[in-house]
Amino acid sequence: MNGKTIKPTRLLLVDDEEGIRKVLKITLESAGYEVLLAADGETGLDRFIRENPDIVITDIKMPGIDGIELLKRIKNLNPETEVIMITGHGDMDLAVKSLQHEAADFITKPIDSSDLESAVKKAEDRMAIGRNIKSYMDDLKILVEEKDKKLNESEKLITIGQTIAGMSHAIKNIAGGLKGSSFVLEQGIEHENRQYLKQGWEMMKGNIDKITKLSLDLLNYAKTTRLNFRMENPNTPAREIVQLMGHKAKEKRINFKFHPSFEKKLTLMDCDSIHNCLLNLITNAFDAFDELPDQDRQRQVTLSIATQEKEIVYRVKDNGSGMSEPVKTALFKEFITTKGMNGTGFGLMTTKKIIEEHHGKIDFNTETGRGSEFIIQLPLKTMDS
Amino acid sequence: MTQGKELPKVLILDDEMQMRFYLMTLIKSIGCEPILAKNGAEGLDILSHIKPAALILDIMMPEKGGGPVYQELVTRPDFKDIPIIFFSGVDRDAFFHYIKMLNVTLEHPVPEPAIYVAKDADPEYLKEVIKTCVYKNTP
Repeated sequence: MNGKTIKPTRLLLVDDEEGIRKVLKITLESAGYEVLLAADGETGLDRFIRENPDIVITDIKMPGIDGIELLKRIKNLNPETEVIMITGHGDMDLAVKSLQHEAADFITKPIDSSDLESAVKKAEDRMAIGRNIKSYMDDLKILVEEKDKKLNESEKLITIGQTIAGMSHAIKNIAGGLKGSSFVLEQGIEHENRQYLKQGWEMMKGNIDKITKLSLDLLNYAKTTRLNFRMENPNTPAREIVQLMGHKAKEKRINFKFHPSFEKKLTLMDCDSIHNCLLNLITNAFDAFDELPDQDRQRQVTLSIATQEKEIVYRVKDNGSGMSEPVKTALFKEFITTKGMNGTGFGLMTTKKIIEEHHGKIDFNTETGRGSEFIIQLPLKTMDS
Repeated sequence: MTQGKELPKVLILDDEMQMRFYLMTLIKSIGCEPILAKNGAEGLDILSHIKPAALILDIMMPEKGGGPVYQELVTRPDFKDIPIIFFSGVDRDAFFHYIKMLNVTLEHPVPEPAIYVAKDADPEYLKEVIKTCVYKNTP
């Protein structure tokens, strides 16, 4: 844009009468404006395009492109340009028409120089207001963007805070467990009590396992911020799990079934992280039998994958102990564990975060004593969609 | 269980088997008789026929956690003089805040817990706390 006050405002004056052009040029120049001249509409438009004046003053009645047409074209090229119309005595209709096409003002012939100057001045003021509004809007936009960024950052900080809070609980438990186990071991050594030694040792091993698992969980949680999306067969993240967990299923006498999707469609996903989600859900499903008596029921865990029109649905279903009301309501909302020393509370939080990063949904049904089902829905993002 | 002769009883309420074993060992080492319960319901059931000299209460337990158990105990006059030692991995401030929030919803607000020991506290410290409670109750 032109300089604000140092550069004089540039006017383009379009009139087919040479006398008027001359007189007005002198008047306006002596008022401190820079004046460009054009003798007809065509030349006016041409100069407008080449020299981009701030304000245009044009006669309405001209041969060829007349004032109204020129006004329309200029407004089309640059809506911010102020256009002042010069009208003859009886041209009230034309004057009104020009205002409808967003002319800034009109002055009537014979032209009074002070009328002209005040019209130009008004146009200038309007332009200044427009510029101010624009700069306010820009500032506002920057302000909003900054606030948005800050909000995102504080949201992130809240999440980090929650992560640390969840972590400190898990770590305190481990530290407590280690202190407890060393106390039991000391008692065992002091009283030569083999049972104490055995129990203390078991407790210590359990806590070592737990801290190993916690560090792995933390690593997985951290990974969710940089996912690596690729086109994958939705069955791929599940395949390894079936082999991996087959052994454990036998050990826990669980009938573990896998129903893959038969569709050949590929979709955009981070295979490793989806693998982690499924592994987490299946591990949970396997653990759902831990509290149940051995011969209680035929233990079933099923992982099924279905490719639908717009989504991929993973289902992990067990007929284990199900969840109690308080567990149900706290699930996904906080770090909770129902597994005592064996859980960190990170598993489902991480799973939820990964699914959200995929713009998917995770949900569950559960019935106390009858089992639970977790459902992951991922939007199908194929090559052709 | 070794049937107690004259030993003061301490009730342990913790869902983790290993923690119960640790607390059991610790309580035996200060000459008290440990009684074990693995959840709130079991603990309350025991309390209906045994009156311990102190109660060690975990907070995060499946089913009935330490919070609801505490709420129930403080409203019953027959349990009023049993010292309750909270022993938990839950952050102290977080738990006290929980009690405060809980009180907003309750007709009869519960008092702030008198004794709170973090789960990672030194066994020697925990021993001292338990001893103080037990011997105050069994002179």
